[in-house]
Amino acid sequence: MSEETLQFRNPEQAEQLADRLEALMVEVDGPVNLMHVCGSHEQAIAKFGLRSMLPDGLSLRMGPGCPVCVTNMPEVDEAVAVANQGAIVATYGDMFRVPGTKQSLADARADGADVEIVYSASEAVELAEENPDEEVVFFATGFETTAAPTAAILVDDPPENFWVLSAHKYVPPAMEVVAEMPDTDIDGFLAAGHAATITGYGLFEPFVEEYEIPVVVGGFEPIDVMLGIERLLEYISEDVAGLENAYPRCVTREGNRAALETMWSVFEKTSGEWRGIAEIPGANLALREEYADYDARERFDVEPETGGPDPLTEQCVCGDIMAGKADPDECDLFGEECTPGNPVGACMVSSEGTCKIWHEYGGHPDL
Amino acid sequence: MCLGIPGEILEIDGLTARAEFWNVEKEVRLDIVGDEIEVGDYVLNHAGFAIRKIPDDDVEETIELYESLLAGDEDEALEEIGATDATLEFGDRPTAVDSPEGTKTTTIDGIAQRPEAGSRTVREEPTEKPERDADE
Ligand code: SF4
Ligand code: SF4
Repeated sequence: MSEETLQFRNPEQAEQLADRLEALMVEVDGPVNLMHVCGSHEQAIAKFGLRSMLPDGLSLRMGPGCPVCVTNMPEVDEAVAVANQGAIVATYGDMFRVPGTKQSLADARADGADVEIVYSASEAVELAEENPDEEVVFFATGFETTAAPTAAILVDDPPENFWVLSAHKYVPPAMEVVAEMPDTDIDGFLAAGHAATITGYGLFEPFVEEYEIPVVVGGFEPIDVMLGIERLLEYISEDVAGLENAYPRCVTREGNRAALETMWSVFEKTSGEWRGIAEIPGANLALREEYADYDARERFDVEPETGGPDPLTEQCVCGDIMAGKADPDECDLFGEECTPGNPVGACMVSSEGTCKIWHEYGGHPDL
Repeated sequence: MCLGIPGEILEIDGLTARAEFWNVEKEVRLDIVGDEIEVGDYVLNHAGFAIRKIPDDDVEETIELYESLLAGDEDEALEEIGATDATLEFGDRPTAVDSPEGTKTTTIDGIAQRPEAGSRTVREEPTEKPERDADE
C-alpha cells in the first residue's frame, strides 16, 4: 500500500499500529467483528483504504451511524406531505434526495412544492422571519450534534410561523439493539467522536457494563481510527469490557452540559422505527409537550396515504447494512439500479451513507 | 451533516459570532457551546452551532488533522459550513496565537502507550462522579 493512499502524517506510526493489530489478532485467536457507528468513520476508513490494512479475521462493520440513512421512509413521507400542503420545508442538504415511499423532498420540489436547503437550524428560523406570511417547517434530522442546535433555536423564541418536524435520533439505544442482534455478533464498538462531544463518553458506561462489550470513542483521522481499533483489540484480547476515550481533544467524560441541558429541555425520548433496523425504544427525539406549539405534527396532516413503496426498494438492504449484517456490494442494486445520481435507498444518498461511500471509494480496495 | 469543522472566532455579538474557516467567513451561534468564548478562540462548528471550544493546546493539531482529512473533500467541508460558493484554501491558515510551536502533540506517542491518562474508565470509578442528565 502506498503512503499516498494512506496520507498518514506519520506512516511509521501507522505501520507500527498495523503490526500491533496483527499481533493482537494472534493473541485473540479467532474472528473479531468491530462496529463503528459513524458515517464520518466510514468515510475515513474508505477514503484511506484502512480495511485493506486490517489483519485477516478482523472485520470492521458500519453500524447505524448516519442519521440520514436511519431516517425512516415514513418520516420522509411526513416531510413531503407537509411540503405538499403548501408549507415551506427547510432541511439539511443530505435529506433532500432521500427517497420516501412515493417521493423525496427533491421530487416534491420538482412538482412545485417549496423545499429549501439550509445548513443550520438558525437558517431555517431566518427563513420564517423572512417569510412572515408563509408557514415554515424545519425537517430536523440528525443525532445529538444537530438535535442540540434544534433545541437551541426553540428555546430562543422562534417566530410563530415556524415549526419543527423532528426526525432527530439518539444513538445509544440503537447500539443496544445492535448489540443484542444475534446474527450481528459485535465484539467492540468504535463510538462516534462528534456525538460524544455533546454527550460525553461517560454515557457509554452503563452500556459497557450491561453488554460487556468494549467501547472506544475514536476520532476521524485515519490514525485515530486505527488507534481506536487497536484499543478495542487490546480489550478483546484481555477479555475486558472497557470504555476509553481515544479522542480526548474533542471529547470529555461529561460532554457539553450546556448543549445537553438545552437538548433535554426540548426533546424527550420516544420509541421509533430506524430505517431497516427495528423499532427502537427511546431512540427517537420528540418535542416535549411544552413545545407542542412548534410541533409540525400538531399543525399539519402528516399521515398521507402513500400506498406501497416502489418495488425496487424491497431489494434494498440498507437495513442489513446498518445492522452490520451486509456490505453494500452484497446488494443486487449496488452500482447498477442504485447510484448516487439515482439512489434507491438512503445509504446511497448521504455523503455519510455506506453505499455512497463505497461507491465513491470502492469499499474494500485491493491495494 | 456530520463533520464538525474548526473555525476561529473573529467577532462576537451576543450569541452570534463570525468565524473564519480557512479563508471562508461564516456565522456561528454560541448558544450551546458551553464555554466562555472570546475573539481568537477556536471552536468546533457543527451545522451552524459551535459545539465545543477547542482547547488552545489542541488547536494546531486539530486544524492539521482536518486539513489532512478534508483534502480532496473541500466541497463537503464547504457544505458543512454552508458556503458552497466559496473555496477553501488549506495550508494558508493563520497560526493560532495561543498555541505556540512546540505544544503540538501527536495522537499517539508509541503504540504501547495509553492515549491519555485519565481517559480510561474501566471499572475504576473517578473520584468525583459528574451529575448525570435527568434523562440518562
Ligand atoms: S445499494 Fe442502494 S438499494 Fe442497495 S442497499 Fe445500498 S442504498 Fe439500498
Ligand atoms: S459525526 Fe455524528 S452525526 Fe456524523 S456520522 Fe458521526 S455520529 Fe453521525
